[in-house]
Amino acid sequence: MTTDKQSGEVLISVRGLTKHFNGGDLQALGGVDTDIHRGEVLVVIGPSGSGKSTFLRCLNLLELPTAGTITLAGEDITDPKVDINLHRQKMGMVFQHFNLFPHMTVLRNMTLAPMKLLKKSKEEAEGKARTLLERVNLADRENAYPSQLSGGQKQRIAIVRALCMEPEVMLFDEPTSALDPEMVGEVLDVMKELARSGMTMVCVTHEMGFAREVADRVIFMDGGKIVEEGTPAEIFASPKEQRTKDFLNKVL
Amino acid sequence: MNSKRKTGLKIALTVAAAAVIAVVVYFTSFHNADVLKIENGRVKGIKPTWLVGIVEENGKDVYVKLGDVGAPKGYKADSSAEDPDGDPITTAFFFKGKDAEKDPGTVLVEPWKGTLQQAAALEGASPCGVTNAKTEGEKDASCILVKEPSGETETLSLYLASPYEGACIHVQAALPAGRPEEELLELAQAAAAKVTPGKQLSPLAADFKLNFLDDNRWTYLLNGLLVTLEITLGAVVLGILIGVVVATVRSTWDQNSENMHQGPGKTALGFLNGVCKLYLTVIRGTPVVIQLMIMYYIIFSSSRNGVMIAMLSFGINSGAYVAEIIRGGIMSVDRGQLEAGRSLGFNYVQTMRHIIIPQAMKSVLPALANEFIVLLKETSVSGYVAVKDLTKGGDIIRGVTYSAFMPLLAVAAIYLVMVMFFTWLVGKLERRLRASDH
Repeated sequence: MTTDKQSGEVLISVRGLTKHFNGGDLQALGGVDTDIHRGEVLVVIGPSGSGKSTFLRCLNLLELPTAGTITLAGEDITDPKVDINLHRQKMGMVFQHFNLFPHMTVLRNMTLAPMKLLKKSKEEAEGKARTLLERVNLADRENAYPSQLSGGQKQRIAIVRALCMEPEVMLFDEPTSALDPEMVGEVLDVMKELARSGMTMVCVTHEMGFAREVADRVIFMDGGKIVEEGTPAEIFASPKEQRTKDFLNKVL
Repeated sequence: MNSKRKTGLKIALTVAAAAVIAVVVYFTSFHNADVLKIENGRVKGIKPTWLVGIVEENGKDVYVKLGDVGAPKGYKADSSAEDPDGDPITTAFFFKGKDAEKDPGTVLVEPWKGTLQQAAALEGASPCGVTNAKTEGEKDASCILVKEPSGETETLSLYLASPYEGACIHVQAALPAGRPEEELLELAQAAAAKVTPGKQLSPLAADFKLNFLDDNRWTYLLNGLLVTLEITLGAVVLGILIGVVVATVRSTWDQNSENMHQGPGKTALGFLNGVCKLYLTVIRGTPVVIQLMIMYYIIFSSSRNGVMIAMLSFGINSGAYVAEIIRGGIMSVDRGQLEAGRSLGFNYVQTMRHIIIPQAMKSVLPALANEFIVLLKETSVSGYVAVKDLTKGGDIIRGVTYSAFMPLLAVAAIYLVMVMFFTWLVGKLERRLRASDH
């Protein structure tokens, strides 16, 4: 069954994505095909080692695919001639371990890329940053350094830092896995609000509640391949594949 | 005690210690030699232990008129005798001539600044010291005699070691030609024993004066210090520039080569990486002195600008070590930082510049400071290529004064003070950088 999001424009198209490590010894991805539509929230779940993080990291070419193509808004970004940096500006990424720049204040973390890459003026960049900080209730922390923030605060800053670049798609690599349980909620709230505002999102996560509530589509991966995909209702309530059932039994 | 009071206390203690040292040095610098008081030509007062004796013959004293050697402060001449020019004799012990024919005339006895070796090098000099088994019947050089014939008279100069360490006595008399010099020698030795040079510098202070104050020799050290600082500064700047570039190339290759597309970019980087590895191996595998000499005698043999060559040479040398230090720092920055930068859309160079290298520099600052301090001391071999740095300045003074103690200690002390100062400076910088760490 397709969702109405899936009849929309295709933002990212993945065909035959394959990734080997150590010169072929380890196959992390064995030919993945999928389309990600504009405005869609795609959640990728699976056991560790299933290749879900590798899949996500291949989308913005943090990992270089061994084979296959990825098309972003019609352009093949796996072509060596392409300037990947330009395309990465359109794809925001949020990491498990936040990766804020410790030698800069929160505000500088957020305005560095827009000023240097999008050539925004300082006022413009700071204005946008402050607006986003308001949205996540961290307006008073603009001059703090990352080491002074809690994990939940850091991750929220990381999200709005990526949003400052006005990306077309946001990639989340297990954004709450490194957080204390009481802080998971505040980060998920931000992600939910982002989804409601129509952002295209691809999330690798173990937060099944989030997936059920917000995802338009859920992909279950194992062994480097997509095992099953569908709406949250389909996957969680009535999984078809045995491996999917086994996994869900363990985590739910 | 809060840190401000602690610092204040430290400063106060340092000042107090310096003051105590200054006072001690001042008071031990001068001591008044035992001065003989002369009344009516007779010796009064405590005879100093170095007094050899009064020459006496047939109950009559033999007088010798001494040259002016300066009265000590607070004393005045006790004798009412005058020399032919009408000047009062200030410190003198008189030997009256036993008869007019054998009068040795005016004998000048004065302290002399040189050493016995320098006296032995004068024209017409010969040893006139004691004979003993060691010298195989010849006279030893504890006394040097210089004869200068001038017509009917002969000017005889005797140079003796003075009772005061580090000084010599010069005794001079004009005698009718042909007079045996043994008489003069006896007189001279007796007179020498009675020289009261007045205010006498202690050996330490005399050494200091000789090495630094005389002829403004301290300027050798000052100019040398300026040259050393110039070379070190130039070398540090060059070393950091080279080090950052080489470290970036090396760490880029190590971290990223497997993630790069094949093509001209990758080949170029691989080539650069090879060049850097060669540079590191050669520079770290040879002594810096050899590198310096190769630069000076081979590569830049047409240039005589030693300071520039030294700067280049030490800069290139330092660059190799700095490169490895910075590469370690770069590798120690969490890989996630690079990924975050790249995923925002920065290219590799921008990420390095804004994100990685600032963090790397902060973590390697102690090691870099150490390298700078090592460099400061390494430049001391610049003298090998005729650069007049601080160490060479000390050497020059040592060559002129034949005295090793003061110049070497002074040079060492200056290096030490510089190192301590720069260590403190770097500590301050580190603390400011830590402000962002809390």
